[in-house]
Amino acid sequence: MTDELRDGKLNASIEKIISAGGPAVTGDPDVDVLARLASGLRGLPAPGFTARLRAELVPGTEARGRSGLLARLRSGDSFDRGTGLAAAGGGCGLVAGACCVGGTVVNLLGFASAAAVATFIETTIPYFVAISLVMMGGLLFWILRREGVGRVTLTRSAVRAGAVVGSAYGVVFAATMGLSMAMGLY
Amino acid sequence: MLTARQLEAERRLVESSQRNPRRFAEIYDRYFDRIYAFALTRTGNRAAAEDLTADTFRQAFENLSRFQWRGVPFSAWLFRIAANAATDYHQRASREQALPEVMGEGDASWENRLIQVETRAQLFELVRRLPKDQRRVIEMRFGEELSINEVAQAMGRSDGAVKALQHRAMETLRVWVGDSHD
Repeated sequence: MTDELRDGKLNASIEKIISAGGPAVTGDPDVDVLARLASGLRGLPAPGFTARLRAELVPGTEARGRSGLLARLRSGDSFDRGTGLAAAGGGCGLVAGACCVGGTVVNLLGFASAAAVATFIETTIPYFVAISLVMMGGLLFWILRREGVGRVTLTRSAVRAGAVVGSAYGVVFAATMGLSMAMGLY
Repeated sequence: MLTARQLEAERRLVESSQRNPRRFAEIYDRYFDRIYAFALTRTGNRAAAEDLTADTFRQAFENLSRFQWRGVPFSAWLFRIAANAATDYHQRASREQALPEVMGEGDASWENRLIQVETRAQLFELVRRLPKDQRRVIEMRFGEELSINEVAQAMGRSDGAVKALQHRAMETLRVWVGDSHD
C-alpha cells in the first residue's frame, strides 16, 4: 500500500473520530492502531484556551510557562529548527577545539610557553575530537529517536540533520584550529 | 506515585506560590493536562471540560493561601476541587437538560477512570513535544477541529502534505507511548 493511501485512510478515520467520536476500522492493522491512539486525542485542549486561562489567572505570564526557554529546552523544541541543530553542532565543534582555544588562552595569559601549548594541543587533540564525535553521534541518535522517524525516512532525516550538525561542527572546529594556528601554536 | 524528592519539590513550589502568586503559573502548567483530561472524561465535551478546568484553577488560585501541606500530593487537593466542580456541573446539567452523566458515579471503576485520565493527559503532554509542524497539525485537527483543507491553508501546504504530517505525528506518538509503557 502506498504512503498516500495510508495517509488518506488514517485521515478518514480521524475525521470520524472528530465528528462521531470513534475511529472507523480500515482493515489496515497499522492504520487502525494509529486511529485508536488518535481517538484519545479527541477533545485535545485548544492552544488558545490554555494560554488564555493562564493569562487570566496570572496576568503577565503569557510569554512564560510552556513557551518559556526552560520548558522549550526540556521538551527539546529548539532542536526542531535548523538553528538548534547548528547550535548543537557548533557546541560539539567547540568541544573538539577546546584544547586549541584553552591552549591559546593559557598562552595569552602567560601561564605556559608556546612550545608547551603546542605539545599539549598536538597530544590531546585526538581525544577531544573523539569525545566530540561521540557527543555528535549521541545527539543525532537522540534527535532521530525523538522525532520517531521510521525506517523509510530514517536515512533522509539522518542525512539532513547530519549535514546541518556536521557543517556547524566543521566551521567551529576549523575556527578554533585557525585561532591556534594564527598564534603559531599548532 | 511521587517520590519523596518530587513531593518535596512540589511542597516548595506550592509554598513559593503562596508567597508569590505569579508562581501559580508553574502549578497551572504542571497540572493543566491532568485536570483538563479529568474534566473531559467526566463531561465528555470540550466546552464543559474547558468551563470545569477554568473553575478548578480559579478556585485553586483563590484558595491557595488556605491550603495546608499535609504530605499529600497537591494534585489530590486539585482533583478534589475538580471532582466537586464536576458534580456541580452534572447537577446543573441534569436540572437544565436532563442530561445523563458521561462518566457518572456508577459508570466505571475508579481505576478505569484514573487510567483513562492519565492516558489522555499523557497524550496531551506528548503532543506538545512533537516537532513543530507535526504539533501544529495535531493541534489544529484535534484542538481546533479544523478540516485537512483548513489546516493546509493555514500552513500554506497541500492537503497531501498535511495528511502526511498528520500520519507522521501519529507514528511519533505511537512510538513514544510504546516507549513509556515498556
